[in-house]
Amino acid sequence: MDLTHWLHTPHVEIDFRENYGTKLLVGPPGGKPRFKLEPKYLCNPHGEDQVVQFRLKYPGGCMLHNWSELLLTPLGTQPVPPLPNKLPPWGPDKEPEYAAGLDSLIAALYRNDTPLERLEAYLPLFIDHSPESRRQPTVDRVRMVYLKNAVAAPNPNLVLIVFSYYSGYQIRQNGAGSGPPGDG
Amino acid sequence: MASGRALCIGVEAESDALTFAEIARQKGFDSPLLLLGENATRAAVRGRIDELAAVSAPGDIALITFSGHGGRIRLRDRAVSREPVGLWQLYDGSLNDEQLKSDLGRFRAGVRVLVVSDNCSGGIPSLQATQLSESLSASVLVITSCRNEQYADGAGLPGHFAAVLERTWSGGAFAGAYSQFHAALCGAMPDYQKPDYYRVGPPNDAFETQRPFTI
Repeated sequence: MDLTHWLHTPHVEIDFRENYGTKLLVGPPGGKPRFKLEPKYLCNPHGEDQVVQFRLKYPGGCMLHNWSELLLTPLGTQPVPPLPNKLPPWGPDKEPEYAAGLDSLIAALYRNDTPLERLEAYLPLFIDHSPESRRQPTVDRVRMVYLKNAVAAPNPNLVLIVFSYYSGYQIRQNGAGSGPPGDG
Repeated sequence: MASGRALCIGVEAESDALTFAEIARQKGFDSPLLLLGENATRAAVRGRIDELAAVSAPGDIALITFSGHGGRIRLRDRAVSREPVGLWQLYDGSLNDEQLKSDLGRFRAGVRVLVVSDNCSGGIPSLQATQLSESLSASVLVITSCRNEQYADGAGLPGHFAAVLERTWSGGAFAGAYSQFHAALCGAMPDYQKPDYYRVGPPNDAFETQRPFTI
């Protein structure tokens, strides 16, 4: 998998949030959630340092505590398909366009067996669901893909984050967010 | 004589769809049609609902169940200030409240439609009054696994709706009407996840007072 875009533009700022995304992608008051991906290297058998994962970092308050040091692993074998149409530059009134334009890709990323190239991690959290769930951590599967030339804007790239809440052995809830990557 | 036809949809919750299909089979519904996993695309689901509507005559019952992800979405043709509408997450994208209401609008007057919406974030079709819900000809009863803003538990947990519904229905031994069935479901579900029950479209007292899943 080609990771150069993640390395060149590791800063991500979230604009659009839907469903569970409105609860999990939370920024500082009045500000947007944002984070940076820091590569983790491993020396391969040829003696070369190679990026194998990314750590998620952010200034205090720019994401919820449980995102701290989240370790994302590159997975998948198929390139992410381009969107059928470019999205308009982000604005709050464009939320329906983003929801509709990203719908199929979000659906593909919800599937357990998705082959799409992505960064993936497991986010621990306590959910306000039942007395047990307030004490016993659950996990959300977080998937992140990089969309090149997806937006008709000066920065045409977009990062889409999709997560699913595990309940028992099924995934029962959806959430997504997206925003532009940058070199910070 | 009335006929019963069933469509049971499951995406990443296929076993729950099979549970609902088995209930339909036991009640004498004609070979319940299953759309599971990759077969549960938007086009397939909407196409099968369309077919159900075309063949259902007044007096017949159509059962549509969905087991899988649920969520809420803002629609393109609505102002941002409007509330998001509910959705079913199908294999290749979402089917939202307005699209389902539009599809249900093809059922003729006098047809009974029962929708079991087993997903997070409440059910569709919703109670939200829109032009589409007011134009429905058939009476649609909706049973949901949880209310808006609630999660629906997965298998093995107290709020696993399909298991609770199957136990409550008790192989057809449950003798009450739909409202009593709903009350019994609520009594059997945990406090954090309560099923909902309501009607969309014109009233049909005879339908509402029948035992659940009666043809």
